[in-house]
Parts: sequence; C-alpha cells; structure tokens
Amino acid sequence: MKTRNLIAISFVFVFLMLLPVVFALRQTVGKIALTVAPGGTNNSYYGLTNDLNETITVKLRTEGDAAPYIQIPSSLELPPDKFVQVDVMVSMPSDYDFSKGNSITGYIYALLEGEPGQVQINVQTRKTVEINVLGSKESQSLQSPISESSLSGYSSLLANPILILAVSLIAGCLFFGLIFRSLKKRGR
Amino acid sequence: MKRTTITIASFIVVFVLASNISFADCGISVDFSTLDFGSLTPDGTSSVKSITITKTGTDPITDLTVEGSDWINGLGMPVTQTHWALSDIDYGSMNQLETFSQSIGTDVSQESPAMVHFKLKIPLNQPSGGYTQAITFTSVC
Repeated sequence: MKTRNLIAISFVFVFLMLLPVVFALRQTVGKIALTVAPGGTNNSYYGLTNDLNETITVKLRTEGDAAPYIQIPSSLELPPDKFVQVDVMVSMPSDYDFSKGNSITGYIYALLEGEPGQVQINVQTRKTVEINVLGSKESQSLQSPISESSLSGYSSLLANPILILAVSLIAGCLFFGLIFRSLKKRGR
Repeated sequence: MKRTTITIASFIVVFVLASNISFADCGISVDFSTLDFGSLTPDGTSSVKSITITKTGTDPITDLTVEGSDWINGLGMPVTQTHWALSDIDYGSMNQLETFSQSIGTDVSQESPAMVHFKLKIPLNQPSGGYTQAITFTSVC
C-alpha cells in the first residue's frame, strides 16, 4: 500500500515537472491621457499583474514622441497575482516649442524577460500615453507655468483603487445603516 | 448590542462586496520562456518550434505583435533567418521575423489560444558557433 502511494506521488510529481511553464503578464485597459502646460507636471498610473506563482521583475521603458516627457520607474517587482501600480509622471519643459504639436503620443513597455537559451521568449505589454499640451506657440510667452492640472488631479483621485474601496465602504455602510434604521422604525 | 451586531454585519457585507471590485485588464500567457532549434548545418532548415499564446484578463486585446532580435555571435546572423506563421507551413511561405513589431492579429481568446510556429534556416556560408536570439510578444489594450 505504501509503495503504491509512493508511486502515485512520484507520478504526480513527474507530471507536474513536465507541465510547460506558463509565462504571463497583464495590464489594466485603456490609454493614459494627461493634460499639462509647458513648465508643468501631471501624473497618473496604471496597473500590472503577474500571473506566475513567483515574484517577477519587469523592465519598464518609454518610446514614441512623448517618451522624453514621461517619467516611470525603470523596473518593478510584481508579486504573484497582485495588482501593482505603475506611477506615470509627465513633465513638460517650460521652453517646449510646440514642434510636436499639442497632442503627443508615447508608449510605456513593461518587459518580462524569458529564460536565457538559444531563443529567449519575452512577453511585454504596451500602454499608450497621450499628452495634451495646453497653449500654443504664440501664447507660450504669455502663459505662466501650471504645476498640475486640476482635471487630472481629480481623475487621478478617481482612478485610485484604495480611494474607490474606501468610498465604497463608507457609502455601503451608510446605505445599509439607513435601511436597518428604517426597518427598525417600521418595527416600532 | 443588536445595533452593534447589525453595524458589524453591514461592515463585513460591504467589505466583501468592495474587495471583489476588479479592474478591467488584458494580457497574454505563453507556454515556454525559451526555444531551441537544435544544431543545424549551413543551408539547413530546422523543424518547426511552436509557442502557444493564450489571452488572459477580463478584456480583449486590441493588438498582439511579435518581433525579434538579430542572432548574436561573432559575425551574427540576421533576424530574418527566423520565419514565423500561424500554421505549420513551408519555411519559404512563412513571414520573416523582423526587429520591428508585426501584428499577429487579435483572434486570441482563453478558449482558442493562438499557436505561433517558428522555423530557422542557416545561410550557406554561415560560420559555425552558438547563436542566440530574443523573440518578444507584445499585447496591447
């Protein structure tokens, strides 16, 4: 009986060892759109999730016309199946000459490198960042720099998962509280 | 006492509901993090090597691309010696892998994964040695 169990365990172990390694990365949907004036900054974030059973490191980089104005961490550690926030800051130089126009697009790549071998298989995600630069070349000299757009500050707050959770919690408690209170009143 | 119990119960119910809030996301998983075409002689073509790509997350992918790097070793070997296709066809009929991204299409779901097939051909006068390459799959959403 013991030998049979041992064989069964060994079989399961070998089977698990032979299973292909799944290599995966997810990101939250939608593009990041930020409004900023020359000389100002603005920020947002998006999320990355690692589907593996171990902590992984992803390398982050920017590309495209907006790349010089986007600041992100160079790498991030992602624990298994946990939403990790990627902070994105856009900083426009005060002497921006509008040569790229008012709407500039860039991309953030999150790269998960495969194992070294003859052919290394990498997986990456691409996030689009659209920067809307306020003002124009003509009005540039008349405008004072804006440190942060109130609109984006508001949208950043709305996009914060902890804040959403807290607000949902408070709103829910109030809602249920009112229901129980009215039920109690009816009972009287 | 009763009021406290009701408050705690409400709190637990709301917390459970709130903690189940999930964010719309998308991504891909691949079944191997490395490939090996084995040893090949000049002018020789490898057997097919395949990677299965499965969509992950709640939302569809808006684009899925593949790109590669040149083969590294001494004189090197162009990335275009590696060919890819969504079906196992002749080397000559497959697409050349490039250093820029090429769309694989978005017809990938959890139920029907995409299979990308690769083949490698060694140029006639290629010096012998151990060559390496990187192939990158990019998901967009």
